Amino acid sequence: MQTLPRWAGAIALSAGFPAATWLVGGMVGLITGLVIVVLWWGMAPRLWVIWALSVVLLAIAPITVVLQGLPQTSVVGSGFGAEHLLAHRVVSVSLELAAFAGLVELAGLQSVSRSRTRRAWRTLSGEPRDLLTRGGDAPR
Amino acid sequence: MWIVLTFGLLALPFLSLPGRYVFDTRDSLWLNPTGYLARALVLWRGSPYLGHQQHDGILFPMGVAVWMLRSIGLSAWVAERLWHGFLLLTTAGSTILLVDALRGRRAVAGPVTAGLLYSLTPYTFGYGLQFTAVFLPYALLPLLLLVTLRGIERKGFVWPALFGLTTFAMGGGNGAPQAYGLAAAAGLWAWIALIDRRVSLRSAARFAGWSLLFVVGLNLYWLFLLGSSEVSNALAFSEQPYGINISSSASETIRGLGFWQFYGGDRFGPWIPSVRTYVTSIPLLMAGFAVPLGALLSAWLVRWKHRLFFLLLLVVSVFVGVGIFQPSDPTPFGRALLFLYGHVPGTAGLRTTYKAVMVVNLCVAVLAGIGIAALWDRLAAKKAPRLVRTAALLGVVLVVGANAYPLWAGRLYNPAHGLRQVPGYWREALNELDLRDTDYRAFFAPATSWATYRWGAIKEGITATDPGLASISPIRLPIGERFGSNLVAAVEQPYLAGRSATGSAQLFRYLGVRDVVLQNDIDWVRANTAGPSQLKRLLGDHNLVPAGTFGTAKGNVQVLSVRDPIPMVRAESPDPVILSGDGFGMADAAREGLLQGGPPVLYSGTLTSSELQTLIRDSNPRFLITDSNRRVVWYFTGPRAPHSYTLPAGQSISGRDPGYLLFDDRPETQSVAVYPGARAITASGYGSVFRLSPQYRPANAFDGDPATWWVAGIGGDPTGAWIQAVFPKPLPMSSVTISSPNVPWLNRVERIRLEFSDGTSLASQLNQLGPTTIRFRERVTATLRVRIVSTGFSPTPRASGAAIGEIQVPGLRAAEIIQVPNDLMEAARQTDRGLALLAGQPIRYLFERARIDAPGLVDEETGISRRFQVPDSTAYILSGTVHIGPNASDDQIDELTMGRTATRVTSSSRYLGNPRLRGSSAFDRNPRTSWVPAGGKGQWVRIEFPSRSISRIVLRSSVGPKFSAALGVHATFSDGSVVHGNAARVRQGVIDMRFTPRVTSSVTVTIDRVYSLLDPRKPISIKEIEIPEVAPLKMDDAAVLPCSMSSSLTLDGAPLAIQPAGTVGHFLGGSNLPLQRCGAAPVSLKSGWHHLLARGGLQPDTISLATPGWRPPKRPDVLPSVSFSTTPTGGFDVAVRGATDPYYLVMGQNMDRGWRATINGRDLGPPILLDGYSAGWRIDRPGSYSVAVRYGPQRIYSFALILTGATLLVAVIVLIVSGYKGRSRGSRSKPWRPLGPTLRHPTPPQRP
Repeated sequence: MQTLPRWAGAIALSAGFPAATWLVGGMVGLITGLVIVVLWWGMAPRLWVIWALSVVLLAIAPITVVLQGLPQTSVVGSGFGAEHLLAHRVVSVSLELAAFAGLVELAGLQSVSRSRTRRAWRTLSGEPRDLLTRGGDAPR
Repeated sequence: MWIVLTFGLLALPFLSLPGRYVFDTRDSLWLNPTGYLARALVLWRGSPYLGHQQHDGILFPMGVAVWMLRSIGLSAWVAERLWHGFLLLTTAGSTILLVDALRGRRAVAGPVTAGLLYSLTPYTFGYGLQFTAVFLPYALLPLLLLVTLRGIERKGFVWPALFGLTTFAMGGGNGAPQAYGLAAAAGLWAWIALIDRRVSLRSAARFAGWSLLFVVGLNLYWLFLLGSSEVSNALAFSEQPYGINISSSASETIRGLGFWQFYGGDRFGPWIPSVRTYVTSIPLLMAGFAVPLGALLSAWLVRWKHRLFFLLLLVVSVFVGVGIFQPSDPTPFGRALLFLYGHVPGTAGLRTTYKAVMVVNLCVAVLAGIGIAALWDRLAAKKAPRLVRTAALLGVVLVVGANAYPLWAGRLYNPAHGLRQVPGYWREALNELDLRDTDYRAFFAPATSWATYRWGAIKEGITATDPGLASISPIRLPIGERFGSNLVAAVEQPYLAGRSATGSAQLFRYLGVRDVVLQNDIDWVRANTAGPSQLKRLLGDHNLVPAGTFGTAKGNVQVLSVRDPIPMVRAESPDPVILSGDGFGMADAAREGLLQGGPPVLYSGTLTSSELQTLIRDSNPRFLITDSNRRVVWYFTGPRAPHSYTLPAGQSISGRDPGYLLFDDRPETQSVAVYPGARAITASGYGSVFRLSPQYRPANAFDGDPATWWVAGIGGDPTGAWIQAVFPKPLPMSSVTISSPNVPWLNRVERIRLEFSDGTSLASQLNQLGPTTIRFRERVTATLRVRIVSTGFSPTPRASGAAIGEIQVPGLRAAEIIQVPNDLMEAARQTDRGLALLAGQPIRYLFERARIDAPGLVDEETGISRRFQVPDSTAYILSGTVHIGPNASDDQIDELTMGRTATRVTSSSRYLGNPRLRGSSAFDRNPRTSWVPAGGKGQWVRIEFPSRSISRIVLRSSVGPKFSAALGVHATFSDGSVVHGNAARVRQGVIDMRFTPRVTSSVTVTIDRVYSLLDPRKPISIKEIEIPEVAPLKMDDAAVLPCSMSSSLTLDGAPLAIQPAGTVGHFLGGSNLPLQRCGAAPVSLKSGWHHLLARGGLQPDTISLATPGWRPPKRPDVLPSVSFSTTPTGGFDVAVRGATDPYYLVMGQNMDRGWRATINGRDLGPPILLDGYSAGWRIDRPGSYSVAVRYGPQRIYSFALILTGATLLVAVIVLIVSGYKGRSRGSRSKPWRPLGPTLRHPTPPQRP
């Protein structure tokens, strides 16, 4: 992937990621994928934010399972999965976020969205150029 | 560390159910390893399923390991615990090695944590240790990745050989876990070669190529078996994607759950009790999520070389594990999987996506383990306080311990699945059966899915302890080409479905059975099968005689012997019975005595037109066309396999394969449903949500009979359920009449919506007291869908479900007809003189009503409605058995018992439906008979007669403690006038109505007032209604039933004059009576299609139409003598003596196209299907000679075994040579090259 220019990787990720999340999550997955990509381009969050969000979502998954009710009968029942759809969605989104963060790292795109966003912001607000020189933001 | 780990993991399984062996993969391997291994090299297995091509693939390492453990004298349970401990150790150990390799240095905390996290999971305890053959790939997956990691950058054959040997050690089986393991290894290969680019693509490709060669070579012996019919049967009939992924949500899959059986159970509790707690306990739930959470944190915070690979592999494998969840609304990926399963051969084998959890668990364990190691290093580097380190350690121990709870709590196994030892009486019984002639078989009744005896449970049944015994141990999942399974299911009908046992001995003879072993010690409630009292029904066939008992005096085991048994391998008469249908038709024929003398049976579905012509030319066949081989969807979930209703040709339910897939699923070989006015009648569901109920099928709502219903949502909510008729062409419609039955156990349908094909709809309230006619603006529609919008009050609180009795559309007649197979006609029609040839042959049509012969249950069919084809204009003799119809009206009964009379009596109801209590019993001048309605006020009886003047009606009712008394009635006359009457004295029970004479043709007496001393529910009994001017009916129980032109039996719409053979008393008593035409006159039928309908007053069980003189073929006086011996490779050497005429050689082994027979090297051609299951040949050669019968695929199997052995030898030599070279090179060998870690690596992987 390193042989491609970064912008090509970024576009491929932006197009491919929602397609992949649609594949595994249907309409909910598509919306999730699109939101992640749009936010990535629009708000240019630091990568650790995406990682943290993924971890937080996975952490609340057991809580959603408990909140949706644990079976009290001797046999759990085949409806358990369907009765805990929220947990399924939460875990799915968590994994999608983690995968997105991983792919961004893999393709070395940590700074692409940030630089584009800042350039756009600068154009709009007239900020001086030297404020926009920070690079990647992987946690240390 | 290793010593503690080894000791702990080997010892801990002994804490669970000490002294009891529990099911693991194959009972026969554990209980008789020598016997099992002796058969492992032979492809064809003659017992216990009538013969099939085995595809176990567990010869190595499991088979050899178990045999070795048992050979040193260990009991089954000790050997099993050691094996399970060894597998846990292997799983943990190989993970430790992988993590060490990934980190580039050896440590304790991280790798051991990873090892334990991967080894001790719900997947291991709930699934892995039940099927350790399938668990082996799980155990060795880390090793496979380790070999990939190392081997990809090395030259030579050592690492490819090691790769191949690792897959070889994974064993065989169904192949899915191996595929998932190989996919993970391929992913790692691609990561290193294409992303990491640590090695050149060429070198990586070389490693992959040689590895693939070793994999194929070493596993050929079981890969070859994946093409067997057993695999395709398992794909078609065992767990299906909709069930597999019923609970495999992402939140369950990521913590190692999601396997459908984890969530299921029966009335005795969960199927896998050890796993239930993972789902219901909050601490275990938290511990379960803590592991993937730690893995994600690790993937985020700890930088090392391959972390993104494991992260992305984790994400992908979770979504693969999720599969088509949720099945009712799959994701695009789920839909793609369903498409692949259905369209790309082989992919359906991967539908058990829960096996991808092995990859999920490994990724999670590796990431978490490396995270723990990093944390440990960080704490050590920062010199964290001991308390912090202790807390961290405690946290890890708690999570690992919680996930491993069944192991240390002694709850690894389901206590219902174990056994301590086989009782002595069973050993005696088996020894005795072993000593008897091996030319015959023993049939172990009844079928089970999991043989649960009162002393323990063996999944495969008691025959697993004696694999060498020639036996049949019925299971419902179809075997081989499925003919044998179909026949055995039909054989078991007497005790599983309550059918008559007559003819059972004949069917056992065909199966080569001499002893029928009744397993009375089965816990039949738990095993969900027939109990001892039901098994005893077999004694109803006098050709099955008690031969001995074992165990208690009553017989824990009872053996019945078949009179005049026939050996498995035998010669049969050259004149066959050619049967259209399947094994159920064969059982019907045996019950009717049509297979007496044991003629060979050929299925017409297997015959080509030329074969049919040859048969007619060279022999004297009898043709038998049955209404069996129905197009139904079977669910082989238990001994009493439930099935759907009969479907129209080409249709299915939920995309499942219909029937037993006999005769390539050709519609002309099947009995299919036909709806004359509709192309299809379907529904959102029918019957109970828990079980299939074909008696409540959608077609019932369009059959014109309000007594049969479409029922939806029993045990659930019927709101929203719909029923739909699809018309062959758009139909103008302006009204629909709908009725909903009024029964206490169902909710009344309150509101419905009619939906039309043009998208319009309209809602309507239903009348609660009778049919509702909904009128609307005329529209033309191609479909009519009736949806239940709401249900109303039900008198019983437990009522569930709702029913529609009838949907009437003017001009639409769509009553279901079962069209019987017409393959015989189709085959005959393909040749010039085919039909003419067939027309001259003896042909019999045999129709059986689909029914449940158990009290209190509703039959699938209330009558017989059949469409059948006749080759030429011929006379047929009608016969059959009939009894009084449960819904017969009073006048229908009167017509059948007295013939047509001038006076006709009908009534509003009969008490308990009893035909003796019908209205005419009050109009026969017999005070001992009476009309007893099913209710009080409002009940009526109507007497119709030729018009005349009457002036008095006297009504006499029974009085006393058993009855309520009618105190007041009114009589309505045909002119509409009404007369009221009251009882003068309650004790006398007489109401005398005198009135002005009037001319009338009917009198309807309606009860107005009722008196009851204690209980108002007591019935009213009207002994006599006297109308002096009208002659009463003459009723006599001893009278012979008259000849009647009843509408109960029609042919092509015209009533037939029939006469059941019996007295009125027998008929009213419900006896089954032989049916015949009045004066035994034949029925003339022209060539073409005909429709026979029998229902109403007479309920038929069987109806037959046969050309005069149809009898089963005579057994020839002289048949060649046949003796046989088996060969070590599963074949037979058959010695034939004294053949004079052509004969059929029957092998008594399931039909399989792989069978070949030769006489002195001359091939007899492909085998034919004989006697409903067996491979066989027609042989014309006279004299004495030997027939060599061999199973063809055995050659390929032997070749595959040799090739696997040769590849194994090569791999071992490669390792030895490399080891020798390594030693001789000494320090020149490549030093250990760390693969990592690059902790806190701030940048993404870089190109070399």
